[in-house]
Amino acid sequence: MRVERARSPLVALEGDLARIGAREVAFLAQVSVRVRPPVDALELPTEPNTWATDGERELLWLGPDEWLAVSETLPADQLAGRLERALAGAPHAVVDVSAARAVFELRGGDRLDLLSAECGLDLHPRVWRPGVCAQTLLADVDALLQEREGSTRVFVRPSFAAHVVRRLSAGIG
Amino acid sequence: MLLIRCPWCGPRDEVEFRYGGQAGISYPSDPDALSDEEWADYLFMRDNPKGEFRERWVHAHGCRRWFNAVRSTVTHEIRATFPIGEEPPA
Repeated sequence: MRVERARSPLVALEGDLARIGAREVAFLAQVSVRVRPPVDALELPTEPNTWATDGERELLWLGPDEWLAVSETLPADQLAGRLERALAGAPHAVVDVSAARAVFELRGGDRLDLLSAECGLDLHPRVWRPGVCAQTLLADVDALLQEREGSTRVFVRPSFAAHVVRRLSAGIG
Repeated sequence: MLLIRCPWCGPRDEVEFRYGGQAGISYPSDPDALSDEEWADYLFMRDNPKGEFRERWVHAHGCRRWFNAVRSTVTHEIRATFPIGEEPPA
């Protein structure tokens, strides 16, 4: 029997991504967390549009009672299980949403100029620095941007990913 | 384009927001007791002031939270934005 291996949503866009100095972050575990802060067992960033990490997972602020937990080392079910245990006792919702967003990472030194061409957000390094994240419009579609040390991660709906990558690469001619 | 200050995300472009009409209209506590005129008044009739107007907005393409704003219908100036359930700063 022939076994199909799982294919990440951007596998066909590898060349387009390379043109803009990006690569896909495939199969990133993503878990939605809804809870009213504060939560003693979790270091949830409460400052809007920031993210924090404890090494094995990153927690991105999405709203005053909403976060996105992502991990490259933990599979989604384990990530969700640990969050469930940390939130036990408080009214909460923990949902695996790994398939909801395709993720790619821009690494070029001019990446913020590239994004600015398609994004109204102030991406000047004065305010857009490692540790911030934001939900906004990128190439006219919903996106979540996460600024890391030396790279920027872009989370978009899988079906919009090709559109976003092509609009970004159009910017470099 | 307006620059609207989301109470959580700070100033963002107007295109990230959607308008939600007049703020502070609560659902009738006993809808069955309303006459047709009162029900129509609740459903359809809204203030239309010239000047400051309290209205609802949602940061649809950002944090997706509803909030209230005080906007001048003459100049479009937004004097304040604040979370639902709170009063605008004086």
